[in-house]
Amino acid sequence: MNKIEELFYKSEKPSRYIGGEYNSYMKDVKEDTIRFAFAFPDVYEVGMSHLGLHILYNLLNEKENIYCERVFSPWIDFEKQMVDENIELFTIETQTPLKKMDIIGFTLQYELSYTNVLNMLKLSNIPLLSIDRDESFPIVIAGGSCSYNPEPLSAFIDLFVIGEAEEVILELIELYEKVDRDKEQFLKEAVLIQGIYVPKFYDVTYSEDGRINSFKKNYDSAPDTIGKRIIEDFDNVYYPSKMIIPYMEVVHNRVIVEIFRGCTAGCRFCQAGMVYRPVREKSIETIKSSASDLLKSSGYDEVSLSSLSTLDYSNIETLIPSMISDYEEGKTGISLPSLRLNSYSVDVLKEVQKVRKTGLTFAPEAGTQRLRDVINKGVTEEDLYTTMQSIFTLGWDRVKLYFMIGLPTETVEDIEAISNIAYKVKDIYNKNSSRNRLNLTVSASCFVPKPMTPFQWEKQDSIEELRNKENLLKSRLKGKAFNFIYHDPDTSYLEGVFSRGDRRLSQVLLKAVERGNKFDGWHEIFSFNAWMTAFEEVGINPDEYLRKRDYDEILPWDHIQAGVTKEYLINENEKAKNGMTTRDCRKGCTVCGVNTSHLGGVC
Amino acid sequence: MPILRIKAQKSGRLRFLSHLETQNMLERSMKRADVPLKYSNGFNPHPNISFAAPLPVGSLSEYEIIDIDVIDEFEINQLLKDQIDFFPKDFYLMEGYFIENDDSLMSQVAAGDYLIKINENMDGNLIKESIDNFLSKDEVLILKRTKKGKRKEVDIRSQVKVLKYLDEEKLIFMKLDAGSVSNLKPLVLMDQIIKIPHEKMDVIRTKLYKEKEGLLIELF
Repeated sequence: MNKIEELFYKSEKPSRYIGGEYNSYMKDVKEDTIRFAFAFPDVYEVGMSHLGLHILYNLLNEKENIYCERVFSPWIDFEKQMVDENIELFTIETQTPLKKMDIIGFTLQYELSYTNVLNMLKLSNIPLLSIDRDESFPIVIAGGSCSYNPEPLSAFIDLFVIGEAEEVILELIELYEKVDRDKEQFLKEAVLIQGIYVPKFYDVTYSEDGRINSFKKNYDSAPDTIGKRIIEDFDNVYYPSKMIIPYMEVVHNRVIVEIFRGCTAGCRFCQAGMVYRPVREKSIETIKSSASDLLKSSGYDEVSLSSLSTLDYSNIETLIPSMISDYEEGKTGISLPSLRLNSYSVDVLKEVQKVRKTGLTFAPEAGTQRLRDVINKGVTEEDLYTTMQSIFTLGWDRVKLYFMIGLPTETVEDIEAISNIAYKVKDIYNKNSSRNRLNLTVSASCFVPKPMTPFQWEKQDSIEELRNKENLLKSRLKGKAFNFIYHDPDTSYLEGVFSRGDRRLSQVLLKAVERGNKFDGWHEIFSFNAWMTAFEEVGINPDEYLRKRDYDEILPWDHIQAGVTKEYLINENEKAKNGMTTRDCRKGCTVCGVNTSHLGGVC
Repeated sequence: MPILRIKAQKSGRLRFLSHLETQNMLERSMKRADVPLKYSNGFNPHPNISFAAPLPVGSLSEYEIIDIDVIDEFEINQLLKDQIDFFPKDFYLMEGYFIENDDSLMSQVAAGDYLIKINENMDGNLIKESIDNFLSKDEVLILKRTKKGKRKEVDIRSQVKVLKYLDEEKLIFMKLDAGSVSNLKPLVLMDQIIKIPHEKMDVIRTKLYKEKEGLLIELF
């Protein structure tokens, strides 16, 4: 029993750290093995439900010369034990300290995990700032959706991958071998690869009011702007035939099959909808063969068909019945995340329910038609009510409705309309169901303007404004049928600051980590006051980051190109102000620019 | 419907799995191996898998007895032969056979054998003395938490059937009450004998017994 294993006895959930799960890789490390740590800056069970982890883990490990191991943020009980016993953060597979890796790759899924990124380096005794890490330390890279604004982390991360990683990650490792693991040379040549951003090759200056004055490269070969990477032939992209099966109970015990990437709806608040364009689908054969492999190699009996809007899959009317007829015998369930409301969704639900009745979630996002037009959420109240009527008649009792508060142009009427919808849904239930067991969850999350969206210039509501809106809803949604859940505006505030943050925030992050901030997305650990002290110590007023931006100012992420043009985003923002909608681009191109920048003409 | 009864070994880091995690691991492994599991009826159908006695987190076992409801009998030897493809490497199926209806395993368990290996330099004589001291007592009362969270005084001396130090192997052997009527966990007993941090000991379950006409008979 080694020292690390002795610690497992004292951990509240040792199965987070023991490794050796079915389908995980145990490889021999040889002289020429490239050691890559896939670092997820949150606790094990969160990281293990992330699809990207399973894709890249298997992709890398199928290469003989690469060993990809996982590392997660230790939960606070275990972190304390590690620190007390002087044990550095280690990989799950071989319990090797991170310091011994060649490359550490962080995935950035939400801004509130940034302190965990730094804390993981700290627990590894790796200097936090890129500039303090010499050749003896691993190269620290990062990717994931937050990389579309990499600036707040640019002092800590040597290299960012912008966009989809399945191809470029292998190109990077090939380069790393080619330059004989020479870090400087590696970074210099990496910028020649599409989708690679090396922050130290660029300098930023600020004017006195905190706006960006200039953004210039200091290394000639570095590109002026960094275009994202996308997979063009998505039907043939690498997809794993197995997934690691955690011992620990995770949120969902199911395999995931990604059926397409991108979304055509054009919701104006949605970063994913903008940055994952264009839509690229997999064929039914590919999907079914993935599902069959994954179910066989997992022992799970549920498969989730994943995408940003699953029922928008072109051949959904063939896919679902065909999968259901394949699996009913073996009691396999199909789950459909991200449902959009339309008549077809009800037909599909009727089919799926034959196997297993899952909870249903719908996202009208806003209370009034006016505001839904502003955000371009193509859903009408009519759609919602017809759908509700059908599902209650079919016997569902549990429904979740997702809304956002703090949206641009929002008024008190828009908030009140959310509770009106809830009451109307309750009426529909009472008329259409013989039972009396309605469980209606109304969830209100706080809108945070995201880079690369039409709302990237908009002001974010203050904590007080958001709290007032929540209180208004809380007072109106009483009764045992309703379950009102809402987000803490304090965390949305911090998310907003980092979401549209710039390089100056690196100093704040350093201070915050010094003060022990971590797991900021976890309500029971998040400390708003410690954060505010950190801002104060650095002399930065965080409110500034929530302000309205001008169209002509340089935004911190302007050098990153997601393919959608700035003109399109401005045009969409103007249309929002006038309550004008934009059609789903499956019904005709809306000229966002992604086709000319990335695919040479057609989506 | 037949029941598959198996004996299995749990070793290595799998010792850190909870009872529920072990159950889930076994269910998934069985499904991967295409064992024809029988599902329960009802709203949320699930396979029926029951362990004779839950193993405390941190303990190893050479004697996990498990009943699994199946639809049909099948070639068990094939499963034993191919298991490495479907099970995590530290869970090893040793033997199996089919039975028809039987009382639930859990209700049959009466006693268990355990070996304790101490991974720290320790004077064997000191351990022996401590054991003798414990055995010389008529009664050793400790406070135990009941399932409802209350505290209850229990005499653990009467739950110990055999307790001895094996000089040559440097192991402690114990035969203790187990099951739903009277149950004593090995480390609870160890704490009363001599103070050693739990992470410095390996606990290995080596057998389980049922009682028949006053005699202990191996469960499997």
